[in-house]
Amino acid sequence: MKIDKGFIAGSTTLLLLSLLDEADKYGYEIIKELEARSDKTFQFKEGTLYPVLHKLEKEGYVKSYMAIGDTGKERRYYQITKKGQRQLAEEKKKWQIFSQSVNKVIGGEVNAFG
Amino acid sequence: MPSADKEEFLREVLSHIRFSLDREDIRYELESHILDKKDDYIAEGYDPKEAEQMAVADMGDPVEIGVELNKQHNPIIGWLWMITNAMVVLFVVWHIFVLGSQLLRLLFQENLLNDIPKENIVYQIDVDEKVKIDDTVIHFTHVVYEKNGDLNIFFKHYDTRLWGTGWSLAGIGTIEDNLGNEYFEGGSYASGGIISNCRRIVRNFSEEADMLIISYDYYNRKYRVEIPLKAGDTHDQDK
Repeated sequence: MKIDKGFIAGSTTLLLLSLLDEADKYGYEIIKELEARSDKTFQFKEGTLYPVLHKLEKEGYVKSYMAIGDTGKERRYYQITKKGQRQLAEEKKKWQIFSQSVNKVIGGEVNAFG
Repeated sequence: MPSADKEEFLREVLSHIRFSLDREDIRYELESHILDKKDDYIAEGYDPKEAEQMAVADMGDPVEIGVELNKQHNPIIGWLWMITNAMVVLFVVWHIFVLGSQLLRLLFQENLLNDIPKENIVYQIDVDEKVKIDDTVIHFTHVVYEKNGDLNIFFKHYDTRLWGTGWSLAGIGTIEDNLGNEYFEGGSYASGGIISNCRRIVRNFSEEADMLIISYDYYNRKYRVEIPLKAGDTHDQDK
């Protein structure tokens, strides 16, 4: 199954912030990580990642800096801020409530995501 | 279908970004992404041209990306930010410049005296007389008499309080000698920073005079300084 969707339409703050909560990453790293962890379920229009990242930066959830990574090339890295971590906790809670409710409606296990 | 040419893709995205100063950064970020992905495709066995086309196609619609990026790069806030930064820099540079030039002037204080060629000097007297008007101190330092009859009075003036009321010094007062002559003709130079260096020239000063009298009496502020001249006589002969 493939969910083909842009970042802009989806609510991706939760995904991005939780990846950045583990380590600072640059754009392409984020994409690879998302694809790998979702067994390629998430296949994104990759360019749409950047408007979302820049929005998160403008809102103060992440900040960016230039650095030379493992590849020896300079990349713009994104780092989660304190404000971003608070937002992440909030989004996680919302997601749990949402998924539990969906499961109730479709008759699945209430605690499937709990 | 999105264009598969990298340059065309980037040009299309950037054409939607109104805040021009952010364009370079955005371009670099997107281009790096395409090149990274292209390298991965090449590693998987694709030929470079095909790899690049696939990498660009994976990016998505350049118009959508450009339009959405533009929303995050507001030109008004962007320019305000740039202008604020520029003004802070200018303010700092201007202050460094002003303070620096004042320091330089302090270092080269004695220069005014060197304006008079040595061979023109009949006599030179070192003085150390200070008078005070409000917060302004006037410090007379040298009197130099020249062969052409010019008497030069050198003095400094400064405020005792750095940002003081600054009594604006209209002149040092009336110039007389002990023979009863009063002098009006002349000119003056000033160069200044925190301490102003001044030179007051009095034309056709009497060669006979033994005493220079500077008296000030304006707006209820008064002082009188008497400077003996030609301690000079012996001074001259010593040479």
